[in-house]
Amino acid sequence: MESEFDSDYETILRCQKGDIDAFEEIVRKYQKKMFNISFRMIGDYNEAAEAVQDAFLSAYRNMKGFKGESRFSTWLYSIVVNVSKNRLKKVRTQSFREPLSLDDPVDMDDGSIKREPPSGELSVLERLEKRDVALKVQDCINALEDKFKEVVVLRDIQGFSYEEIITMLQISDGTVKSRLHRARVALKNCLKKYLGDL
Amino acid sequence: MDCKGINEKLSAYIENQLAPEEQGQVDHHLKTCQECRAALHDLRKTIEYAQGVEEMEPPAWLSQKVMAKVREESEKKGILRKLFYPLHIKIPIEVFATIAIAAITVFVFKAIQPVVKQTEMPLKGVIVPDEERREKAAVKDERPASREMSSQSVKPREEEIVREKVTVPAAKAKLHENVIRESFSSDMKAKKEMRSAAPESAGMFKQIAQAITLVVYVKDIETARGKVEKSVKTLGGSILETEPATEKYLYTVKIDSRKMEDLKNQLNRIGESEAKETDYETSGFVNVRIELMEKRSN
Repeated sequence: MESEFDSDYETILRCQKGDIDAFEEIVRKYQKKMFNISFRMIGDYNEAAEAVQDAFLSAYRNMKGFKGESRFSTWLYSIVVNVSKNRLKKVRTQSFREPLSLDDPVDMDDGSIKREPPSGELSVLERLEKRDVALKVQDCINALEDKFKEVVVLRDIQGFSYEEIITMLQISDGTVKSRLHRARVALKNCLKKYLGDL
Repeated sequence: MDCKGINEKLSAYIENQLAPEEQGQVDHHLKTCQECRAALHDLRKTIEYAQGVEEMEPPAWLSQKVMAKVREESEKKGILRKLFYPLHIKIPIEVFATIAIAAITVFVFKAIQPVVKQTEMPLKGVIVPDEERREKAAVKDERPASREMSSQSVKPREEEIVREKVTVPAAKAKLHENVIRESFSSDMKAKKEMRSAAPESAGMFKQIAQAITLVVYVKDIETARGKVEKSVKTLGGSILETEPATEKYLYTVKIDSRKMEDLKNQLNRIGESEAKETDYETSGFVNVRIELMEKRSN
């Protein structure tokens, strides 16, 4: 069992016995990583913060359901990925109700980018960060389809291993590789449009 | 392998995810293909850009807010657990709830039972088939039709109606049910009886009508009639119906049951009185059928 080597093993046991202080240790340890996964997937600071809260609360409620079949951190990250995906859908539904200013569609091989990233609009992100490459990367990530977005965020930005991504997303190794390649190509084309030569 | 095939493997190539043989094929192709080398370069730069994205700092309040929600959740859980989870509390609560439900059920059942019984009374009328009625007529039972009145406006039918009736025999202490079959000569007659009885009924289900027949043998019916009517009025009774017949005269009177004995005495003074049915309630009004018959001298 992997959890035998899990650095959180003791803390998890305490959590499962109802020790709230132990859960607070978990929150403090993983909140940054959780937040960054969520933020890169949603692309909105406040929405990401809300998603992370929901994810931690969900983890607390289901703590006894964690049987150690994967690393605790992997289990925790899979929760935040799912919560963020759901929140993203909700945010997208809300934004569809507002008028959108769409630029020319990005020329994609696989059609994975549905519209030009909203870089010309005043987003939350733009108010928080300077208009630099990182922002362009985020904009391009935002424009990816969810299934491509999640693999590129988890692999290239968060640096998870293929095995961890397979566990988190519950998809096969081949699917991860295929989606990752298509996501990178889409991201490359998007960045070239903004930055010219890479 | 053509450029398209190579391009599809570039992502895996960068991360050394290809089999050694495929890795060699891509290496070989890249040496000769400028376009694919450029694609590889762009892909590598893209990955570098993605990996170079700085980490964001979460809001300072995030952990506090999470823990506030967790503590709130924990308190809710604690209350529910205290109420339902430990068996030493859960079982008594369930037992108590079961007993309470059973007690309420019994109470409600008992509370509504009398009402159900009473409302069933008028519905217990049974239509007697014509054959049976003819048999009864053949027997010529001289028992007069008793007047059973119900406060409910039940329309009598042509058919013979059997009604359930509770009577209190003078000699007996307990109640018993007696089925009285009453025969109506005509529909109109029955309707008339019902109309006359209806205003007197005070309670919905209280029965005031009783079956008492007093036969009085007199010398002269005409003379006796005046005396009978006077006696009834003197005793506070009322004449509901009169019916002249051959060699007799019939009265249906209503009188306070406490004055029944006085009525009998008065009738004895008028002629020879004979009570055919004498079961009646000792309280309330009773309907009495008085038959004035001419005494035959032999």
